[in-house]
Amino acid sequence: MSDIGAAVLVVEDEVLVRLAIVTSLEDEGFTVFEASDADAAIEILNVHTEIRLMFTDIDMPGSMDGLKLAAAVRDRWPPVKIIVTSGHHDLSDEVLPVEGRFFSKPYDHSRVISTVREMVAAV
Amino acid sequence: MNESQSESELDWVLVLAPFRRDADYIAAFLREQKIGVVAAKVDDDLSHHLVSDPAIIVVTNEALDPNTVAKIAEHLSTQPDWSEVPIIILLERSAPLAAIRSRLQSSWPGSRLLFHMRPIAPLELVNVLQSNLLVRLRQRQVRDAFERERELRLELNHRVKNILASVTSIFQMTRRGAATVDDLAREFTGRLVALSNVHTAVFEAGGEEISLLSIVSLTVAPYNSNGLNRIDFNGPDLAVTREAGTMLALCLHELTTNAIKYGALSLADGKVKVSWTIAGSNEPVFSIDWTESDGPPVRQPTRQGYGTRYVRSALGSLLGTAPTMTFAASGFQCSAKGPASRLIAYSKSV
Repeated sequence: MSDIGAAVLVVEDEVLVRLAIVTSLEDEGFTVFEASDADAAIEILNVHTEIRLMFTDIDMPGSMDGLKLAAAVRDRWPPVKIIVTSGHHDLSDEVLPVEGRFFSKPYDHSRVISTVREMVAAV
Repeated sequence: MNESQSESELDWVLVLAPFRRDADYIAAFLREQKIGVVAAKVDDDLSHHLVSDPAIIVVTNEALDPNTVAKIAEHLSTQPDWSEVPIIILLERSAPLAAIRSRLQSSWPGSRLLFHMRPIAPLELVNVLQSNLLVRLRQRQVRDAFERERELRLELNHRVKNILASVTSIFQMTRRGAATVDDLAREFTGRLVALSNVHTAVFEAGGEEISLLSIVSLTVAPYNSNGLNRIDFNGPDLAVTREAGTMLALCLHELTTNAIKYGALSLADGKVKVSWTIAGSNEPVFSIDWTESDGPPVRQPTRQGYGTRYVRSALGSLLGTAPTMTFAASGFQCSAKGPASRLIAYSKSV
């Protein structure tokens, strides 16, 4: 499958931070959906089955944080690739509770984008 | 036995006096003086009482059997750094003071040992206890101050990281839209000034909430000076959260910037009206409208700039529904509405 126009979902409660990574991904040709919390993310995933990757922050208000959201997505949408990010938690790919990649904040957009491209291409 | 209701706040006295009715006698007297007190049996319930953190322990020399000394030693070893437990030891005149002192000092490090001869005058006992309760109160205040400082440091770290992340994002977004380095510098500075102004206003308002009216007047003030009234605003004053106030201020900054570049404020006679309302009593709905008039012919932009994107995202996140933006012939309009509870501090108006 080609990654041109591949659909990705960005979940981040800080508007400015979300906007920056969303526009960077759009510049690279991805179709980007945005959510500011886990509940909104799940609503979007229910409707847009074309989404192939979720990029989520851990520290968000609401019923679920990003790690719980990642676990729910792994459970309900197994093919969706997962990238998790946080400015507080110090995690690594190995200790993530779900299969996926971890970026600590602040992250380098070009590294995130090349990882997204790799993960989406591996489907 | 009336176990004092306050047996948890480090403001009560534990009495260990097994000889005859000494403990009950002391306890009854202290209660008369309004000092919270528990007279414990040495054998059965001592550990249970120690777990409830007495402010002061009063102990007579008959109570100092190895088992009791060990239980108190264990309690002392679990005390945090700020806690120094005063222990008042009531000795018979014939008791070997030096030997008892050196034994207890080695068994109970980190305590404050106060020796008194029996019979102790009631007034003297009350004075000793009152002054040591005060010592314990001060120790608790030190503990609370340390705890507050720790929380503030964590919160400060969190806020600084958030602000740096916001500034980084603003820079990246501004760079994308800027044609020249001068444009970049001017637009970036404008956005930082808007962020800084709202930060100052929130700080001056106490740090957690801010009046919406002050946010709006602050943001549009530069365009209403020198007798001009380019941006007219009206609506009820509301106390909004720090986050909501910051987002609304940045949205107004972006809408104003766009109006100056492309919209009504690019012409001398152009005007803007900002109005907001709260309607409904059960679950009040907040709505806000930005309406431009008397500007140049309105054109739908070919590409969505950073300002427009930010306003769309911020108002969408804040109110739960994306705003409506209309490029009407009469002027650009932006309207947003959503549950007032999403932005109002403590769900009530000023």
